[in-house]
Amino acid sequence: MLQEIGTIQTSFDTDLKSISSVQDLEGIKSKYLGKTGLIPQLYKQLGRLSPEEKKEIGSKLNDLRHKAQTGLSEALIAFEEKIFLEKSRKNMVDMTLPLPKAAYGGRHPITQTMEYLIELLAQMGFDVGEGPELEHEDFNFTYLNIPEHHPARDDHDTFYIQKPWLLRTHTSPVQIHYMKKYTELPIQMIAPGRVYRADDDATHSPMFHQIEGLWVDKGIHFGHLKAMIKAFLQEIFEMDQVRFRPSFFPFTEPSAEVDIGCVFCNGRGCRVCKQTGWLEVMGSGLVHPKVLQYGGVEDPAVSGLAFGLGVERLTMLLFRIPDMRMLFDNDPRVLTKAARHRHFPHIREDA
Amino acid sequence: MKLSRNILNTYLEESFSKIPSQDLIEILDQLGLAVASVTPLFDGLEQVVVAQVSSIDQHPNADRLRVCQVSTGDATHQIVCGATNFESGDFVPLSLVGALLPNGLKIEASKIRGESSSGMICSQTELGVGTDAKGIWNFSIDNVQGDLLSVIGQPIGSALGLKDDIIEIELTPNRGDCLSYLGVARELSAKLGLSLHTPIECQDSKFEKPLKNMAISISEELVPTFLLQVLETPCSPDWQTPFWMRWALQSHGISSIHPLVDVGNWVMLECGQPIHVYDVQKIAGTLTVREGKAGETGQTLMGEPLELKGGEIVIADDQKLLCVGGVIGMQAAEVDAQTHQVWIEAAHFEPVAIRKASKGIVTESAYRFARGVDPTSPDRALARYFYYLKSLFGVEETAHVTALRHAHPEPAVVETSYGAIGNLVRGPESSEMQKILTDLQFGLEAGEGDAIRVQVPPYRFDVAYSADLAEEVARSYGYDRILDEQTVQSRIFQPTHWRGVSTHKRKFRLADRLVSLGYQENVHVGFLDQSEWRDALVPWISENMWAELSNPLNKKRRFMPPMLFPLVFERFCWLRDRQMPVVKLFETGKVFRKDNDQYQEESHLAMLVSKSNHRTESHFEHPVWEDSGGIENSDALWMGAHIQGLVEELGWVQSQISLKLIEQGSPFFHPLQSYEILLEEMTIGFLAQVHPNHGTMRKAKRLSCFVAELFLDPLMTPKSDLSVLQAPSTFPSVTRDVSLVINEGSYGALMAEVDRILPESCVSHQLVDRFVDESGQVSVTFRMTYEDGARSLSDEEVNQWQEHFRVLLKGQYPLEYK
Repeated sequence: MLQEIGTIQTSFDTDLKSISSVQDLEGIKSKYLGKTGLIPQLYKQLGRLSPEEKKEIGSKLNDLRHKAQTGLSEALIAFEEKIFLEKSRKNMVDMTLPLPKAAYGGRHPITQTMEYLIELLAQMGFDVGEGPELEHEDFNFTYLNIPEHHPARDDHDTFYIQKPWLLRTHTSPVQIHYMKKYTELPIQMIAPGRVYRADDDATHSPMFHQIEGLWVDKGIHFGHLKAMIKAFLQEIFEMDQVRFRPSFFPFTEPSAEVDIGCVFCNGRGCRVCKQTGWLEVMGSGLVHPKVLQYGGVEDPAVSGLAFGLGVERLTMLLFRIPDMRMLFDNDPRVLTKAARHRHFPHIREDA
Repeated sequence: MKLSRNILNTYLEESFSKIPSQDLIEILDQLGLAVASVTPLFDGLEQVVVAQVSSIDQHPNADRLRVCQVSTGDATHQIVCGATNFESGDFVPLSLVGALLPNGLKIEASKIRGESSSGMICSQTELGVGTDAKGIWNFSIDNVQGDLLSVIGQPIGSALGLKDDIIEIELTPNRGDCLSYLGVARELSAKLGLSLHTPIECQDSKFEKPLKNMAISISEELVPTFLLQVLETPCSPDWQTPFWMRWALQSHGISSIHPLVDVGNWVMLECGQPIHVYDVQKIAGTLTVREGKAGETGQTLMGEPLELKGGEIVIADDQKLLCVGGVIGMQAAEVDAQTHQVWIEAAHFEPVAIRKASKGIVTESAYRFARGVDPTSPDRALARYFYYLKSLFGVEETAHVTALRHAHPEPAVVETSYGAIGNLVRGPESSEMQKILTDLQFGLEAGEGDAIRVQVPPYRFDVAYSADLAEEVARSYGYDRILDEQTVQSRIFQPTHWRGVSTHKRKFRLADRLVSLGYQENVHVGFLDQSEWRDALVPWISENMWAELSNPLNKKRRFMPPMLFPLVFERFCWLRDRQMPVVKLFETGKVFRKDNDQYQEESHLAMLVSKSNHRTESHFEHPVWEDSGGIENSDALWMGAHIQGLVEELGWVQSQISLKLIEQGSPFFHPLQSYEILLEEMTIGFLAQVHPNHGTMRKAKRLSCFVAELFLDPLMTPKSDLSVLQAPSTFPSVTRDVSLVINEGSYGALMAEVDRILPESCVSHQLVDRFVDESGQVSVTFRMTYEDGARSLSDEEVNQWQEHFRVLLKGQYPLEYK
C-alpha cells in the first residue's frame, strides 16, 4: 500500500505540472479526489488492514489526501492569478498617452498680482478702500492738490465723460473718500483698482491697475516711509538694494521715487535696467498738508505717508511677460501658461 | 533741459570742474534733478583734426567731385570730396585714415573714381555733433575761433575747446527755477558747498518814463513787471552771433536766427528769463500791453495762424498783434536782416495765464513762464543783455530801461519751526537745517524758541508750506541718510482694519471657485461700441443710460460698458476666429450707467461657456464637459449649478437659486433659453443661451454659447444660517421611490405640491431619474427619505405614510403613477 501511496503522489505531482486550463484542474481533482478517484479507492482498501497497519497507512493516506487538496487549491489560485494577469495585460492602457484635458481654468496674472499685494499689505496692517471708477474732477484732481491749469493735470491724459465727470486717472481719490468717511486715527489703507489714461502704445494701456496706499497718524515721518516701503519691496523682490530719489508729486511733499536694484542683473547693469543697475518701481512721499486738509485732517501734529505703484509693470516682472498688450489680449495660450508661470525675481539670469 | 558741462563749470568755483560728469549724475539725481543722459561730444574722435585746404581741383573722372590737397601742418593729404561749401584756404575737420566716426564709419584709404583719397572732410552730423548735414563743416565760414593755424593738425575737440559733456536733465513741473544754468548751478552750489559765480552784471534799477508810444492796460496780477529796453544804436549788418554762442544755443536745440534774437535766447538759457525783441519800424502807433480779444488773429513766428480766445496777455500796436506775451511772437514784428531799430522786452507773466494761453503751442518761453520765472529777474536779464551788446558788438550806449510797470512782488513767507520740519524729516539738527536753507538762499528770521520765519527766494514758486521746506532740507541732507523708522508710536489693533479686506478676499475666492470649475479669468480694457450692443442690451439699458467718453482714443469704442458680458462675448468671437472655439471665460468688473446727470457703478461678474454640439468629442482635444446626465439641453442647468456654487461661496449657505424664464428678453438671446436668476426673491442676474441665429453664432453652426451675468453688490451681504449644526441621525433612514408620468406642468410645480403635503417624517426628496419619450411624455422618479432622530422606523409605518401621500398627491395634481 505504501508503494501505491508513493506512486499516486508522484503521478499527482507530474499531472499538476502539466495543466493548461481550469478544466485540466477539474480533471485532476476528479481523477485523484473524485467519487471514483484514486485516493478514495485507496481508502476503501484500509478495511483489509490490521489495526497497526491501519494506523500507519491511514495516517500516510491522510497526508496524501491533504497534500492533494492543498496542491489543487494552490494550483487553482495560481492559475486564476495567471489568467488574471494575462487578461489585464491585454487590456492595459497606454499610459504614455497625453492626459485628457481636465477642466481647470486659471486666474489672470493681473488679479493674481493684485491679490498678492493686497494680502501682503493687509498683513502690514492696511485696510482696503473702495471708490468709483467714474469720478468727479474734484476728487481726482482738486482734493489731491492738482488745481486747474496745473502742469501736473497735463501729465494725466484724462478721459472725460462730461466735465466734471471723468474716468479716474489714479486710485488716489479713494483715499479722500476714505478719509472723509473714517475719521478716527490711524488711517491705514490701500486703494487698489482700475484707472484710465488716454495713452495707448507698447508700454501704456488706456486702462490699467494701481495700488495706492495711505497711512495717516500722529507723528508719521519720512523715516517711517522708508522703513515701510523697504520692508514691502524686500518682501516682494527679495532684493536688499532700495533707494529713494527726490521727485515731485502734487499730493506729496517731500516726494520720492523708489528704485530697487535690478533683479535681472543684480545691479550690475543690463538691457532691462538700461545699464543703470536700478529699476524704478514706485512713487511715494509724505502726504501734502493741503491733501490732509481736504481729507478733513486739521491737527498739525498729524501727518501721513503715501505710496503708489502700477500693477501691470509688477505683473510683467513677476510673470516674465515682455509686452503689456499680452495682458489684455486674454489669449488662453498665454494666460494658462502665465497663471502657473510666476517667476520669483530672485531667480536671476546669470548674465 | 540740456546743459553743457563746460558752461556749467563757469558758474561754480574751479574745484567743481574736477568732478567727473559720471559722478555728477548721482549728485543731480539725489537733488531731484533726474539725469536722462550724458553725451560726450567729440568722444573718441582724436583722429579728426583741424586741417586747412591748400588747393582744390576738379576730379578728372567725376563732375560732382573735387580733389583737394589738405594740410595738417606736418603733412598734406589728398582727399576726394563731393561737398562744395568750402574754398582753398578754409579750415575744415579732417578725419584721418583709421578714424572711427560715431555713425560707425571707419575711415580708410581708398580710390574714388581713380583718384586716391586718404581721409574724409566731415559734416557736423557725421561727427555726432550739431544738426547741420548740408555740406561739410567749414570752420572758416562758421567763424569758429581766432587763430586756427596755431592749432592745425590737433584733434578738433580739444583744439577748438569744444570737447564737452552734454548733460540732459528731466525736470519735474515744480522746478521751473532749474530751467537755466544759473538755477542748476545754484542747486549744486548749495549741495556741494561751492561758491556760485553769477556772471550776471547787476545794475541799479533806474527806470526811464515810458515813451508816448508805449502803454500798458492789463491788470497788475497778470503782468506785474513789463520792461522795455530801447536800443538807440541802429543795428549793423556787421553784427554776427559769435560761434561759441551759436554752438551753445545749438546744443539746446535753439537755432541761430539773428544776433539780437540769439543774444536774447542765450540770456534766457543763462538766467531763465525769456527775452523778446521787436522790430520798431514794424510797430504802427502805440505798443500796448493789454488783454487779447476773442477772434483777433495773426501769424506766429513759426508760420502758424493763430486766433485768440480772448483774455490772453498780448502786446499789440494800433493795427495788429505783435506778440502773445510770454508765449510766442508774431511774424508782424519779426526781427530780420533789414531790422534797423529794436526794443527789447523782459517781463513777468502770471503762470496760470501763460498755461491757458499756450495750450498747443510749445516754446521755450511759454515752458518757462508756465512753471514760474523769477519775478525779479527782468532787470538783471536786461543788464546782462546789454553786457553782451557791448562785449560782442561794441555797443557803447548805456542801457536805459523803460518800465511800463515794475512791481516788486512780496516774497512768500513760511512761518514754521525747526521742530515742525524735524517732525517730518528726522536726522538733521536745527543748525544743519539752518545751513541748508541759507545755502539755498532762503531768508531766515529766528523767532521764539525754535520758531522761524522763512522768506522764500523769488524764483521758487513751489514753496509755500512747512512740508516744502522739509523737502528742501531732506533733499540736501540726502534721502539716503535719513534713518528708517520701523515703529509707529500709536500702534492700535482695530477690528475695523479688516473692513474692506474681507470683501476683496471673498471676491478672490469667487474667482478661485470659477477656476476650479474650469473657467479662465479675463481682464479687458472695457470700452464698447454702442452701435454693436445697443439692441442686445435693450431690456435693461436704454440708449440714454450709456456713459459716453467725450475724448475717447477710439471713435467707435467710446462707451463705458453698462453690462459686462459683451466683453467676454467679443473675446469669444476673437478666440473662435483663432481656432479656439470651446472656452469657459469669466471676468469681474464694473458696469456704468447714466441716470440723468448722475452716474452709477455696479460690480458685476460675467461668465461665458461655449461648447461644441458634436456629441462625439475627443477628450484629448477639448476639456471634459459635464456629462449631461440624461437630461437633454442641460447646459444652462450646468451653468446654473456653477452659479449656485458661487453664491454659496459668498456665504448664502441655505439658499437655492431659481431660474425664471424671461418673457420679452434681449434679441441677443434664445427666446426660450433666457432666464432671470432669483435668490431669496432678489434678482441677482441672468443666464441665457446666445441666439443660435445671431450673426456671429450662425458662422459657427456647431457651437452653442451660454452667457451669465451676476450682480455682485447685493450678494455681498448674505443671509446667514444661525442655526446650530445638527448631528445626523444614528438610526437608519428608509427610502421610497415614486415614479410617475407628469401630464402637464414643470418639475418645480410638481415639487411645490409635494412640499405642501409632505409627510412629517420625510426629511428630503431627491430627483433620481427623468425620461422623456418620443411623444414628449415626461416620466420622473423621485426618492423620498424617511428618518427619525430618536428611533428606527418600521416598514409598515413608512408604507402607510407613503400610501397616504400617494393618494393625496394624485388628488391634487394631474399625474399617472407608473
